[in-house]
Amino acid sequence: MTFNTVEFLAFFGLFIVLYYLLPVKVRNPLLLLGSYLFYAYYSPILVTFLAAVTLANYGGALLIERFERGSRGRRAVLAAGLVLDIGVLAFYKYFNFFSGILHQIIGRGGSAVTLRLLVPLGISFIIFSVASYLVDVYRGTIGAERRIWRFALYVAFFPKVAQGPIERAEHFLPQLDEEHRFDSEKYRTGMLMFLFGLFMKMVVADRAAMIVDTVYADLDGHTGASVLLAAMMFSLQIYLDFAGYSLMAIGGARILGFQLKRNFQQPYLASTPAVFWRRWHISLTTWLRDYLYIPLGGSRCSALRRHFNTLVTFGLSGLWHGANWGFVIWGLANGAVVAVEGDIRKLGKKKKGGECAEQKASPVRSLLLGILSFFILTATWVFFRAQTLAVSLHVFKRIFTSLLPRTTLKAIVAQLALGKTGVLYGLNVAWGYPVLLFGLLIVAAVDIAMQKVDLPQRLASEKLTWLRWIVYILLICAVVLFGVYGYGYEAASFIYADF
Amino acid sequence: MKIVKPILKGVAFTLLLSIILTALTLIYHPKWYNYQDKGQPAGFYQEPKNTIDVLLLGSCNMYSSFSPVLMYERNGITSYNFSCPDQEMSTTYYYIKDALTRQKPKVIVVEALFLMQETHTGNREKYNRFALDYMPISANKIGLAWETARTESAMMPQYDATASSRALTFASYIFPILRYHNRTDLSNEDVTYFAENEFYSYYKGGVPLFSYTRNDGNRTFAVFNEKTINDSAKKYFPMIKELCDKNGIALVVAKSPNYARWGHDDSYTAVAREYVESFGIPFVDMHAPQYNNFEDYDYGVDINLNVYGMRKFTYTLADYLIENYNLQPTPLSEENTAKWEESIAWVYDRSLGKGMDLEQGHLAQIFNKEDAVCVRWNPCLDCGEYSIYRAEGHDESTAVKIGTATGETFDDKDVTHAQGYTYYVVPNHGAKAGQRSNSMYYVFVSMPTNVVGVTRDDGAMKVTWDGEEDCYFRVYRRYYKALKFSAWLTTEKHRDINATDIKEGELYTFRVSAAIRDDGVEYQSKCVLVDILQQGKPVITGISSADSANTVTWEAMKNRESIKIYRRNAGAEEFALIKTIGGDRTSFTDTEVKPGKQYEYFITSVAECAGMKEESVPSDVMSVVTIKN
Repeated sequence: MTFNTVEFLAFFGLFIVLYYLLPVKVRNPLLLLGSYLFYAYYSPILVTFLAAVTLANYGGALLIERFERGSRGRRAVLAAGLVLDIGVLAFYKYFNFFSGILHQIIGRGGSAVTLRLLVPLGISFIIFSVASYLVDVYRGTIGAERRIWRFALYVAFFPKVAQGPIERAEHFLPQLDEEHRFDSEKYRTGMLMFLFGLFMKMVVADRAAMIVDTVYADLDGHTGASVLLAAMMFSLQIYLDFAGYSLMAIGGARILGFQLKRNFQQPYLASTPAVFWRRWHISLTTWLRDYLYIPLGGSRCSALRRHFNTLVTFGLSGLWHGANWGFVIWGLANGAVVAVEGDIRKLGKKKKGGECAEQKASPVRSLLLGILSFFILTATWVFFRAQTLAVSLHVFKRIFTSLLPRTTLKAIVAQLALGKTGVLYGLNVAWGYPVLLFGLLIVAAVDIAMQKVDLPQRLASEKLTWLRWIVYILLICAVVLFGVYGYGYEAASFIYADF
Repeated sequence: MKIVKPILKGVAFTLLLSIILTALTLIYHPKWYNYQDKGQPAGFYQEPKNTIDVLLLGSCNMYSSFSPVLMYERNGITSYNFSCPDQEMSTTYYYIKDALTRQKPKVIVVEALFLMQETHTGNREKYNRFALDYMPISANKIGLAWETARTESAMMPQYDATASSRALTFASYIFPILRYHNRTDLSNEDVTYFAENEFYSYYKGGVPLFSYTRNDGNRTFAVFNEKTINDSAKKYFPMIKELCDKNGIALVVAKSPNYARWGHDDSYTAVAREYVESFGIPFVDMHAPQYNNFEDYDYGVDINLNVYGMRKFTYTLADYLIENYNLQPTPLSEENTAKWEESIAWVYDRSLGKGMDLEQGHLAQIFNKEDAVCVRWNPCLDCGEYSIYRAEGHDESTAVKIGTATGETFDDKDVTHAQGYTYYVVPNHGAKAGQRSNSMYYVFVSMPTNVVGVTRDDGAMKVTWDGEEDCYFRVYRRYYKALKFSAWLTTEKHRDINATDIKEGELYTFRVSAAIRDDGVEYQSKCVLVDILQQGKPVITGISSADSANTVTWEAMKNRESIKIYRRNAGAEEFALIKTIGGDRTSFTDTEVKPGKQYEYFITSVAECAGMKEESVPSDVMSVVTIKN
């Protein structure tokens, strides 16, 4: 069950009450039970997958520690563990993708071998979590966890199991030693984050998705300018959706007394793509940095090798997101952009005597760079949304060959003039757009404010109870009234037509 | 103690949030629910506790048929018609459970239709919302909401049936704002509505129809295709019986007259009767002759009884209940008595306002039958005979007595087309003996004749008829699943309906009546009904031969039960049916042929809809010579 569903909200509400009513020593086992129930709701049978991955990596870490540091045996166990972990991920997620590639290479008739498997919930996040755990144990960063239930809870912790953040064991496991008594401030902070995440996802992201889906469903039926607007809207949608969900995960964990690492740090306020990638899906990008990029050599090597490392890291990041070429190209494109930016930055440092260009950028320059960065990222997001090269190229073709800005503007104005009955890109003009634009403004304002102050922390203060209640009520009402959920309402279908 | 303050704060916040969300719910809830004109379960909760002796439940078949107000006026017994549109047995069960928390009825009457009827899936959500939205929150409402969410998403293909959508559906029945939050047509009325309107039901749930029909019976109405007890009834009817037994309440199942097939086809009634009586529960078929004889004029425009039929039904059922369950007038407080009196005045005022007076001895209706003008009056309870007077034209002073009648109707057969007549009646006995009624003027209009309905080759439908030259004609069409007729006015003697405006392979009913205007008032003849099971001429798109077999292809047709392929061998005189295949097929390969021979083919389609089955006109004939390779 995803966080923005009735069943999850009911489950979580009841869980919180039970969690804090029961004695402290029962809370962690309760969390483990709740996490497994959460997973079982998705698929009871795949609970066995979760348990199997847990057992295998628990045992693997213990086995690693049996060998001396630097020994072959230690390396072999790690290698075996990683092969198993990545193999499982590859099997579930990428079998059909690679089978298709192989089939194309071999060039025989018929169709590729495909498997219809139910992919385990959160498999990418789970595997990356346990893989990082094995590596950390191997490196000696942390000791292998001896109590299996604690490790099981690290793997299955329900606020993060489905869509992250990818939490490191060294950060999570020690928190299981805390008592997690009810802490008003943590509760309030967590609730604010959860509600705001829900707002971002249900009110703004899902509304933006309507525009994107409408245009992408009929690219030829829209002008290039419309397609460009949809592409830009997707850039916002993906952020609002993912960051919103992460915020709910982090907020939910905070309500339960756990601290998860921040996953997004106002990425669209970054002035360059490289900075963007330091602020976007932080748990994944740091994972890739620590477990892939740096072991490959990182940036402490030749320029060619550095570019290679960057491309491989980003390319695999793309593949991690999904098993099709669109994601891979998206990853590689971003890798190329970051690599080129690195070169430009180095060039700039040489010219300016080693000063970092970004640190010295004026607000206007930062803004312009930020806008340019947004457009560059939007271009790469096209591959992510389109998912195939063909559709991506189609998008670019529409934009560059059929822009028709005046026609687009006329069509927009015509729909606006219709008022209540106007529909623009699948969204009602009178209701949908004001809510969307207002929502975007609120998110933007919060993001800007968050650069200077931790808003949830500030609002959690005892002295701001009334303000906090107003925020709670506004967010809840906004989600209830303006959230994109349920069925459409048509007055005609409810008017009683004499049975 | 540390936890106490946060808990108190939590409670306070929850209360505040609840108030705000409740206010939003009241604003967002659609205001299509006119309490005084439609089924009114909401009004039940306004009745003082333990003051209802008879509880009636069911669909429109019940709330259009039984008037608690008329029973109270006549017999002094209180009741409530706790019905709502298309009330399923699950709703009936939970309604009874909830009702028993505040009332102690002696008898519960459940209407029989929903033992068998399946609901239009397209309307299911609307009717579920009617049933649930104004039920106060309780364990029973939660139980009904759960059951409703479970079945609703399964039966409505336009909604996905995932667990998540079921959970949301369930939550939306408890918190309606979750359903109506998408409303974009809010107005000022939405804000003030609940402050300005009351839930109290003057009708006590029984809602009269103020119209009458001129149709023949046996109208097609295919809401249930099989003569079986439906799944909801199989599960909940035994539970209803158990509930009544446990509470010492007598349970009766009554079948109300209904103008659709259910009302007239005894084979449906037999199934329901057998089922009900297997539980030892009485099944009272109010349409049966020993109880009543409901005529055309007792029905409203669609399928349910109008206010006159309702009065007949109410009095007859009341007599049955009093006789069999020893019901006595209900002692009430002064305040409650005043409320009931107010309801009586409301019902009479409302009827009068709609031109259908309930006053005894009052001339109620005049309408045309096939060859007569039918005069109807509200019978006086103490009078068994009436004299009927008629004048030609408007001058009442020239009226002469044309006959006597017992009961409440008289057919005047001595009438001429386009001639107007004025009628009044005089009761011969009782309190109103000798007092003439009001008079009414009516013009006899002859029915259209030779009404024929066909599907044209191109799939459009055509209705033709003959009629008098001085008439114009009203044509009504109803798609079998629809609730209302759509209507046209024409002076022509035919009506064509475009193929794009109809659903292929499905049933339509046409109703044609002639009309004349006299002094600005329209008078209609009796209607003639004709059913058309739409099937255009099948179109063969190709015929070919290869490998000693012939293949015929044709344009796809929707909603066909089967396709019949006919073949004539060269030299033969007659075509023979060689194969019947599924209606969704678009080709057939005939392997029972010999190379070098010529064969001719045509196809027909067979549609079945609402119990009517027909074979279409044949397609054009196509021929082919069978080729070996």
